[in-house]
Amino acid sequence: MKLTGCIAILHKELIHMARDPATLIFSMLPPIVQVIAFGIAIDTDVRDLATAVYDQDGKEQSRNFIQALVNSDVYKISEYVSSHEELIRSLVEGRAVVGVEIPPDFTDRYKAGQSASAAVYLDGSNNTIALQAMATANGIGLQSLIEQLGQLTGQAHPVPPLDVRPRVLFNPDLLSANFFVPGIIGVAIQLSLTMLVAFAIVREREIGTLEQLMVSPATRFALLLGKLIPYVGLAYIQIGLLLLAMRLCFGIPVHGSVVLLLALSGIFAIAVIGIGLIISTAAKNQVQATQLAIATLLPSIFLSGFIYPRDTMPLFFYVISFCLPLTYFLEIVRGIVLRGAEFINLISSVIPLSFMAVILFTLSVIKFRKRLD
Amino acid sequence: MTPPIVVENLTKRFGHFTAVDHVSFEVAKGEIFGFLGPNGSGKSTVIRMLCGLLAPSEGDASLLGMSVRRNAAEIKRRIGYMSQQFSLYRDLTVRENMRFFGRLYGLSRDKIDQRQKELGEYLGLGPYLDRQAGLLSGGWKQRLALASALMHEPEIVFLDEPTAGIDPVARRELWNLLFDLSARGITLFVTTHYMDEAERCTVVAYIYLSKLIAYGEPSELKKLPEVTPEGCRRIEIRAEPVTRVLDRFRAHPQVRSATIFGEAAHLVVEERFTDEAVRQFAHEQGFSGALVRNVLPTLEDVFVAMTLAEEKKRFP
Repeated sequence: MKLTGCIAILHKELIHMARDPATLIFSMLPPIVQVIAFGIAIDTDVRDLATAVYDQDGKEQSRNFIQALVNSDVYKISEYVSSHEELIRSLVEGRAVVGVEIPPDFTDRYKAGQSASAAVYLDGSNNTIALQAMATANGIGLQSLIEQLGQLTGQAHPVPPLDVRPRVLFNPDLLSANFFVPGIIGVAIQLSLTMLVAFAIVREREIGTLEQLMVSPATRFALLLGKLIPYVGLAYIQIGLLLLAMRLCFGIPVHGSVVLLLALSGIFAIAVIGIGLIISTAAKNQVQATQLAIATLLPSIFLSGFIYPRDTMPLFFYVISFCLPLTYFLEIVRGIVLRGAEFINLISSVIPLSFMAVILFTLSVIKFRKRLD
Repeated sequence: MTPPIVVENLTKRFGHFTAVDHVSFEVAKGEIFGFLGPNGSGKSTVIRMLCGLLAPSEGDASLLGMSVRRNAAEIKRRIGYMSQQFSLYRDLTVRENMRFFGRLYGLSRDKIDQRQKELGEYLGLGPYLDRQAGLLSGGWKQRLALASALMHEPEIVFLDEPTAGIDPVARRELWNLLFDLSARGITLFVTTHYMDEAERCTVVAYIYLSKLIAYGEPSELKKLPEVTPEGCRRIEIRAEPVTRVLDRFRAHPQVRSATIFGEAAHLVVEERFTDEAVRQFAHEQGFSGALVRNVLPTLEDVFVAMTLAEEKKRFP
């Protein structure tokens, strides 16, 4: 394979980059802002829910119950109201997302050994919040049952017959930042690489220089290689910056091998460069290229498991998720960063990802050649 | 010695559409070959095949003794190409553009230094070497494009509408450069829509609806029988107002065709319609003092006549 012209094109691309730092910065900066913004904003951890309380009892047990809710960190008392209507209004008007109503005989019934019932109203318009609030409330109910059993049997610390103690590995505090932030590496690489690669080719066709390159003795392979190497380098700088931002802003270290992560990122980069090249053959101008890059990014974001777990998807979307390189790369990034997974553990993601990289890149080179003829 | 460009029955089909239909011509060393034809007639398809960008469906072309079918890679090394739009990198300086093309063709650093210096002097680009190409005026952009195309000392240079959209002074200067290059033995293949530029070429070819319908030296083409039918001659009449002259003469039975050329009317008339008879007719029609003289056909006349003849042949 003759590589005449490859270095010339590589050098020229670097000059383009240096002459147009704005484009460079605008392609590098957003992912880092994304890491920080996503990590903070996409927070599915529920805490400090505004809670309105209608306490008709006000005695010992009702106070204990309210305290138990507050202690869970999930609830935060925002107001005390004095009627059922007021409680509901508070929920409707959105001042509170949880309403707790305690009947007047709560403490009396409790002490009499009868079942004391309290009503907890949840704003179901956000299901994630409602589900977690409900689980917490149920937990408190269960806890009081165990305590009461203890009192009945005379034990100070009663032992439940079935003691389930879940222990969370890898992300012990169940922080959603740990789930989202490594995933952003994948999304960021896909966005910036597809866009920049498509731009680099479309721009050259728009101004007519692509034809000028084609009449030169530089082979198509040398031409592509010279154009792509700087962008792959850029992708690696981006990964480095993102890992750094992850470490500094969220204290998420890479548990596994950074070298392995970088190596496997290379495979993903080839796959998304393929997508960028295919876009460049389809797009007539840079505006179209941007639109197509975003159009291919959206399904990747929603269906790859970046935000929503794939296992709960309808079958149709679940099948699509198997065709997205990002799906596999997310498995790899999360595996290495959070679990410290090794190559052999990731093989079930590496194989399909490599397969797709080969298919996409070959397809794009074929389309690229055809487009030039 | 075989001519640097020999094209034989070159044909290109895209599906059922024949874009170039058995085109043949030759260009000798140091000639300026003018390749003309309306847009979409197959002009750029021919150039793309000659430059090795497109494989011919039938026929062959040899450049510098090598077949475009088999030696496209070697041919590319020895030809230059300057496209119609300003296709250089606007954000690169004049120097960087020239050096980029030198490197693209695999020249050594010394060779690049030498060529950059030579061409910078030859084309007067010296004072602009560190200016970004996008900031140059139209004429200087074309000079830079020419300099970039010449870096690797090509033996044949293809110029696709090199003067489109530049001012007359820059146009004339560019043509002077082309004459000079041709005097140095470089073969030039030029496409243009300007008839006055076509007149400057050593040999011209006209492609119409995928077929070559005229090919030869301008002076030869003007003598072709199709251009001036047998028993006819071309005359020019100068009289005011020229549009009415045209109307009146068109009605005359011995006038074959008439068209306006600048301030005069150009007519194809039967030979028996003598100058004397023409003046007489002009006088009768109220154009006193009309100037009448014999003229040679222009290249435009040639291409119009050949196009009409071709249309008659194809769509009788």
